[in-house]
This record gives sequence, structure tokens and C-alpha cells, in this order.
Amino acid sequence: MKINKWTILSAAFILFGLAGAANIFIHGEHAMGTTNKIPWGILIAGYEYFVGISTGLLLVAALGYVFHGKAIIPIGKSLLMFAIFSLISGFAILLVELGNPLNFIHYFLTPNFTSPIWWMAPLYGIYLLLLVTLTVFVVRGNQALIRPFAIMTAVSAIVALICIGFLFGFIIARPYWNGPISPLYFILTSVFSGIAMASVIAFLQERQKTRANFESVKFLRMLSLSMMGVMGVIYIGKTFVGLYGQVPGKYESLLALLTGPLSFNYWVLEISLAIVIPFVLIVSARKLTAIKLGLAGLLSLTGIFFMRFNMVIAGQITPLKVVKNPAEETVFNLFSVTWSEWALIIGGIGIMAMLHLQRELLERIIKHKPAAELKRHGDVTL
Amino acid sequence: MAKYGLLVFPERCTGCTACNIACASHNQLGLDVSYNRLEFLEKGTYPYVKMEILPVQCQHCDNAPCVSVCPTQATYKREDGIVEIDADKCIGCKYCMAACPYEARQLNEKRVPEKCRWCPEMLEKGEQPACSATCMNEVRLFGDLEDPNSQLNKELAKHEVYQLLEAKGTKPSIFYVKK
Ligand code: SF4
Ligand code: SF4
Repeated sequence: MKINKWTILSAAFILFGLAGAANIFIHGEHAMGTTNKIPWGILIAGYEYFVGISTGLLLVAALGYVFHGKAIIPIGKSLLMFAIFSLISGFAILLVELGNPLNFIHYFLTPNFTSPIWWMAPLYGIYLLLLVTLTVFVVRGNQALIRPFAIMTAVSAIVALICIGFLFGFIIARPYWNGPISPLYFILTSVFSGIAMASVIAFLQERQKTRANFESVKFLRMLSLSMMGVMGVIYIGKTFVGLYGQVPGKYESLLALLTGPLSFNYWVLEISLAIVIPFVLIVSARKLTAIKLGLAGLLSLTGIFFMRFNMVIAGQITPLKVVKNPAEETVFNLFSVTWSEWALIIGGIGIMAMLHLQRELLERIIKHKPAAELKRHGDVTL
Repeated sequence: MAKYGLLVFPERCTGCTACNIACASHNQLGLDVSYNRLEFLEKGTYPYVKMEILPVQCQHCDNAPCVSVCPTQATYKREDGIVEIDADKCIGCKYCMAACPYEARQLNEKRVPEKCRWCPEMLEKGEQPACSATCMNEVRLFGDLEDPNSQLNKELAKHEVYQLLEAKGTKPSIFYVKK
């Protein structure tokens, strides 16, 4: 096991996350910012965020392994590894968010097949299994098996994302979430987060400074810009449809984002950080180096976190107005985030970073090779 | 088998909150938990204004979103129409809270989203739920929707009624008399 300043920092992040988890286990929901009016808070956003990155990374990797995208292959192994690490972080956060995980046995004893949350476990289980298998084949170089498994894993990732889309899209009580576009929204935003994370990974791999890596940077630049364009269309579509129709519930939630209590989050932390600043950074660079692309990716990743958070809160911030006239003045529900919840998000980042730092060890285990031999063959890339 | 329902006469409600207190005491609820609430509506324009008070609680929906989304069937619909929660099966995902259009769910200390149960233990004894039993103005008429001779059905036939958020398609078991 390698120990350096990054390992210590990651361990500190994980410990902070554990402290937050302990506080939530001891004090229950009181240690969280959630309420009866806003039952889903930043931890649901965090879960979505990490699993979104995971599936997004896999879909970017699939461009290489399924469609023979030469620019992706050199970073492909790292993309897959990070996809696994990110999924583990997402699951860890969800475990703390669930109030009574010990009752999980009833998932199997009395399953409810009409519940998207029920489907999440088998779908993400299959995805994880396929992802790990694919990674093992890539690490061991089993060329014949890589493509078929990459196709299966990509399909399972898309199915799992569609399920998250249904999870929100089915909720008729919350007009901001409810609708048929929700699965597509999750697929596209997850691909966006995958591209951003891949940009960071390309930077991490920059030390090699190979020609292949230069190709990866160029290709990711093109992917990032295209995806930012797609995101722009989504934002314009959502905003105009929301404002034009003024559908009760949806309209107020949109106003909460545009001019209401979520407006700083929306304009500064979401739109600017996820799209505008990275876009300017990429297009203004005369020669796009891995470090600039990595920085743009990092900013996007930060912004996408707030994209998830804003989406979760915007759906619940508008009071349900059970008996009131929907046109009556809206007093938004209050939302907050506690230190324990932030600790868990930081802990999730810590888990990802720590697993990444121990990659050599993981690859050694996958290859059944002693460390010295790996180094001799130059197999360890990161 | 009975199929329970409730008819509410909002114009009779004085806003005394006895129903709320009876419910909290019967169910031993904590201070920040309430299974039924009163919503106060101001109607008209000054000086011609009036106040309408509507008791709101779990509507025991026939097409209950909370039942459809619950992954472990912890929330389920009984044959008698009551939407019940089995706390031992609840994983605490709060999906039912997010999915209920009536804001009926209240998280308890054990992180289980509870709500009005229509007091089955009282019904077994042939008594009314605590809220209906306590109301001095008989705002809450509880009864059997399947029994054609029930007082509930007789009153339902007499009055023009509506349900809350009918457009959501939840098919509530609670009816409100129109003013
Ligand atoms: S009112 Fe809410 S909690 Fe009650 S049955 Fe309907 S959806 Fe479920
Ligand atoms: S919180 Fe409990 S009762 Fe509600 S949907 Fe989840 S498992 Fe079912």
C-alpha cells in the first residue's frame, strides 16, 4: 500500500465521512437537513451524482471498446476503474441515507415490482457485476471478451439510468420531476459528468505525455464541447417550456431556480461552473493542454454536483398546495444541509480518491502478479 | 368486507383542533409529528371575506402512489381500504413521502414515515377512529362505503361532494361536502 500526502488527505476525507455517518446513525434524521416537506436532500443528490459519474464514465469508455474509438483506449482502463470507485462511493452514501437498512431483507421477501427503487438494486447489481468483469478483462488483456462485455455493460448502464429517470419521472405529486423526459435527462447529464471526469482522468495520466494521450485530450475536448451544446439545449428547453406553460408546481420550481432561493446555486454554482466557465476555458485555449482540460473537467464536475442538488431540491421546494388555489402566492419550503451530510459527500470523494491511489494493489490482485513483476513489465500506468 | 371511507363537512369545523389532539394522544405522537392537520383558507375580498377550515390527513387512496413506489411492500393497501405501514419492512427510503401528493407522511423517531392509520384497533371494537369519535360538531363521518345502508352512504347521496387533488388520479377515500 502506497502512503503519501494524497493518501493521508483521502483518509482524512473518509474519516470525516465516517464521523458524519456516525452522527446520522446516532441522532437519526435530526442530523440531516431533510424535513417532512423536503424528505430527499443532498444525500440523494450525492448518490445520483456518484452513480451518474460511474455510468457516464462507462459510456465514454464504451466509445473506445465498442466503437473502437482509438483516442479513448489509452485511458480506457482508468475510466473503468474510476467507474467502479464512483459507484462504491454512491452506494456508501445511499446506505447512510436509508433510515433502516437492516430491513433490507424484505427487498427479497416481499418485493414490489412497481417500485423503481426496488429495481435499482438488481439493475445496479448487474451493472456492477458486468463492470467489474469488463475491467478484469481489460486489465488482463483478454481482447476477445472486451467488446462483448463492453456492449453488455453499456446496455446495463443505460437501463439503470432509465430506472433512475423513472424514479423521479413517476412522481405525479411533484410536477417539476414528473414527466417522460426524465430518463433521457439522466442519461444525458450522466454522460456529461462522465466526460468531465474523463477529462480529469486524462490530466492525471498526463505524466506519460504520450502521443496517444494527446489524442485523448483532443477527443475529449470535442466530446465536452458537444455535450455542453446538448446541455444548453436541455436548459433552454426546460426553461422556456416551464415559463411558457406556467404549469402549477413546475412553474414555481423553475422560478425558485431562476430568481428564488435556489438562484445562486443555479446561476453561479450550476450553470457557470458546469457549463459556461469550462466552455470558455476550452474554447479560449490556443493549445488545449491536459491541465486546462482537466481543470475544465473539475469545474464541470463541481457544477454537476449542484445540478443534481438543485434538481432534487427544486422538485420539493414548491409547497404541494393540497387545498389552496394553485395560483395563490407561493411561500417556498425551507431547505438546509447539515455538516454530517457534507461530510458524507466529502467522504464519498475520499473513497474514490483512496481507491484510485491503491490502484496498483488492485491491478496486482486482478493480475495475480507480484508488484516487482508488474513494474518490470511496465504494466502499471497510473 | 367493509371498505372504509370518510365524509368531511368543512362548514361545521370550528378549528378547535380536538381531532388533532385526540389523534396525537391515541397514537402517542411526538411534538413535531401530526397525522391530521387543519388547513385554513381565506376566501373572498375584503370586506366580504370568510374563512374555510379543511381537515387534511392521509386520504387512504385507492390508487395510492405511496403503495406503488414502496420497494418492500412496507406500505400496503388492506382489503378494507386502509393504507397501512408495516414498520418492520420499511427500509426508510422516504420514497412514499416524496410520492404522496397530500403531504400526509410524517417521519418518526425510528425514521419510518408514518401517517393516519384510521385506528384499526378502534374499528375492530366497533368504534370510530379517534379523530371522528372526538369531534364535537360531527365534522368527520366515518363509515363503510360498501354498505348501502350506512349513514356514510346516505349522507354521500344527499350532498354534492369533491375530493382533494382529484386530477392526480389517486382516488382518495375521503370526500368533502361542497359549500
Ligand atoms: S394520502 Fe398519501 S400517504 Fe395516504 S394513501 Fe394517499 S399517497 Fe399514501
Ligand atoms: S420509506 Fe418505508 S414505507 Fe416509505 S416507501 Fe420506503 S420502504 Fe416503503
